[in-house]
Amino acid sequence: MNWTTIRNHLQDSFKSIKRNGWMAFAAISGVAVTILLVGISLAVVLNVTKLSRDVENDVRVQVAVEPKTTAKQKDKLEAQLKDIPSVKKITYSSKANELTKIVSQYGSSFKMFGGDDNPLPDMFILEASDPQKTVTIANRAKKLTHVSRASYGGSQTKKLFSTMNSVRNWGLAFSILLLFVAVFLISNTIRITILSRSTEIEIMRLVGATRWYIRWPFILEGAWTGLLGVIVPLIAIDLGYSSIFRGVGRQLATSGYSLIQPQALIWPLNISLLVIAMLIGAFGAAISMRRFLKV
Amino acid sequence: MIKLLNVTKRYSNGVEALKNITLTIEQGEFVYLVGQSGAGKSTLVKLLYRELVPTEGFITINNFDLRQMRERQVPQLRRTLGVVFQDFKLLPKMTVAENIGYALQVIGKSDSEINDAVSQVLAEVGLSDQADHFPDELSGGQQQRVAIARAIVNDPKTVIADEPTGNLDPQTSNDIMAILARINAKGTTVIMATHNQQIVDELPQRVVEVAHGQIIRDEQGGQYTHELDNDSQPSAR
Repeated sequence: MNWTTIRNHLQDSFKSIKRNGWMAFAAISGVAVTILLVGISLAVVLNVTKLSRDVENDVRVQVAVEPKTTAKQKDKLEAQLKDIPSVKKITYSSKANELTKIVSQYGSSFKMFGGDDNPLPDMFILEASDPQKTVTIANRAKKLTHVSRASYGGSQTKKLFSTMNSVRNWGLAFSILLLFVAVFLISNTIRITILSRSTEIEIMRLVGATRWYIRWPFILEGAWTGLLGVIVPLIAIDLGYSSIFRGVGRQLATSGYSLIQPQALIWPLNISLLVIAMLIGAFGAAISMRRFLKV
Repeated sequence: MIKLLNVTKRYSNGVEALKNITLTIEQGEFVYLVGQSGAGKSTLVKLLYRELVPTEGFITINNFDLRQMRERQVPQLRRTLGVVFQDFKLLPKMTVAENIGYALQVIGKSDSEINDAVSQVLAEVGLSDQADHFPDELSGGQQQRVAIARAIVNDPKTVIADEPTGNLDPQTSNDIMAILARINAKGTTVIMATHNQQIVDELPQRVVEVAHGQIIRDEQGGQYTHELDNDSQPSAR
């Protein structure tokens, strides 16, 4: 393909969008609506993924040591706990330390349990290298001597994991479905612009244009339609996400979790949506072309 | 040179539009294709520029074997042909010069080659002063001249015209015929399907008559209707 041809294709594709003003507007609006939905859904999925990872990583196995266990026995126990596969980190927290935590959370009235009155056990806190292994780690720790109990939040954690998983999976499935809808929508709208130019295609074929020569301007037109259609939803998503981050993010912060920072989310999301929109535009156009290129 | 050997065209609905046709046209000939509506003329014309593929038989045109050729060779065949239609098929949003240049643009010619060829061919059809007009600013005859200019701008070996005077008054039709005759005089084969009795009779050339999907007459310098059955075809104009 020489430069004159490339220039002609580019000019043709721009001219065509200009000439088919209202058709192009319809296609661009179609892209805009779909990309907005895909964008929102992706932002939700990405944030749910991050939150669920935060929650998962936050799950630790708390191993309570039996009262009257000697320091030597505790050292042995610590070594045994370290040997459990998938244990990433092990932290010792004395019962005095545990009480301090409770006092800081629930108030100074708990100070009365200080010293010898402290009913709390000494604790080993285990962090798993793979959050899914939490349950196994707890079960193995439970069997060791001098362990009174090993807890990980039990069934509630399990429930949380499965809820998070299904939110993520459904979100992704929804996004993929939306992308299919977008391809369908764009290919249908571009089919209308192609229909309005069927004489042009017929003439191109008659005077000996190759199939790719005929296809290129339409594929480019599809890509530009995607590009133009993506502008408004991107602005809406960027502004919307920033303000949601400021609002919801602050509330979440009190519970120790956070949404993805706008600057970390917006650019990758913008670029991916831009590429996706241009690709589905081009792909939609290519699908619509097939029928018109049959001899 | 164009050769059809035992060509049959059957459509998917079972209709046999052409039955076992054999026809040879030498380079530089002028051939009228006549026959009533539904006789098979349009099918024959479409087979020539490979809009259709024959069900049986062989067609060679300008050294291309139409039954054997691959899909991607079709554009190469069409670059050796110029096709003209009754309804002109001009692009309304392009100027006259752009419509003509388009035929060269899509086969990758440079701007300067296009400009030269377009002005030369516009002069040939007598439309040099209309280059920047749009088709809807022209008369029917002028539009057909633009369509012919587009068909010949690539210097084709063969021009196929399907009812080129079908929408035109007698005087304008004569102008179009004069242009086609000039093109033919330069050695280009011209195949013209027509219902226009006056033209065929006044400008005698080889006449191939099609009826019920078969060639029933092939006569050098013939009339629109065969002298013997002049009275039997009152519907022919």
